[in-house]
Amino acid sequence: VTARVDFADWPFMAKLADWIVGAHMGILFGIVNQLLLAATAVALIVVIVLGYRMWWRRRPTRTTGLTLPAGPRRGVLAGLRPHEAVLVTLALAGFGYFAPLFGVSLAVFVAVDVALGRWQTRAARQ
Amino acid sequence: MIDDLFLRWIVTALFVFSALECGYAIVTGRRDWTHVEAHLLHFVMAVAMAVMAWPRGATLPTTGPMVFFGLAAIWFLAIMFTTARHRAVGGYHAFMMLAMAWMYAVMNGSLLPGQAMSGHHDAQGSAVAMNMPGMNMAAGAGASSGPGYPAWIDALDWLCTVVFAVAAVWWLYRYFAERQADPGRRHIGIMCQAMMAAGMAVMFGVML
Repeated sequence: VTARVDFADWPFMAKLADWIVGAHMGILFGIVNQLLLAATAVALIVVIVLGYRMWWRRRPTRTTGLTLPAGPRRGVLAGLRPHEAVLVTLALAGFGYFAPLFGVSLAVFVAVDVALGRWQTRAARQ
Repeated sequence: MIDDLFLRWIVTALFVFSALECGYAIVTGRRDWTHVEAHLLHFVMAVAMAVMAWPRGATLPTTGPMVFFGLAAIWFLAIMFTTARHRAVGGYHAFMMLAMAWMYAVMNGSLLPGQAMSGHHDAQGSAVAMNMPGMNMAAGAGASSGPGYPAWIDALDWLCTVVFAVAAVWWLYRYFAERQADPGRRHIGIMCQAMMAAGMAVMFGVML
């Protein structure tokens, strides 16, 4: 052993990262945190299933055959009140940082969606 | 530099997008020289910050850029005091340029009073001082901005982090508000300011 670095000597960001990892893995706060995490996991599954159910129920039903539902209209985020849009953006950015696969795929999706929107707007003007 | 590779790419993307927007504004925007000069300074700043996030960037000289951004801060202050409109925004731009000069001064490792890194100037000193906390524990043990740094340097780094984090939220709010008020325009310039402020907050945040 050539050196020793105690937790108290860690920089603030390192402490924060350690606390977040501990909270995320159920190490911090014991059984209370584990129950909370389990409830969060169940709630997430419920929200995902309900989301797909809502999406499916919105599909056109008067046509014959299998018709998939349409996607949400473009510009929903900008249609929110500014402080709501800011909160959504910050939440997504924060979550995207801690879940990089989600963050990168969301960023690519937004970039493609913005590009498609611009292209459609330009085509509509012409 | 930022050791966390994902965060490094995020900051790089924020500043590269900002630099592209500034370049686009120079080419297609108003032709008066104050407009071009302001966007040119923001362009240089965005490129400098994108470079600074990478290991090679931390080895570059710091004195020249520090003087450059110090002069840029004076220029924005002069614009602020000589024009009647947008004084608060002009003051913010001056603060941002001053923060750039400050960051280069901290990276230098020997320019500021109290920095105990004599003999570790520019390249080596900056590499030690700017390592991402949590990733390189040995370098940052016991101090935030660098070994032996006085508390006032940390305090100013905290101040810059908080100011730019608040500024990022404010610019983002303004982007959505202006977009609702005038949906016909793109308002990319405001989004670019939000991105630059967010990038600055991260760069100062990793120094804590």
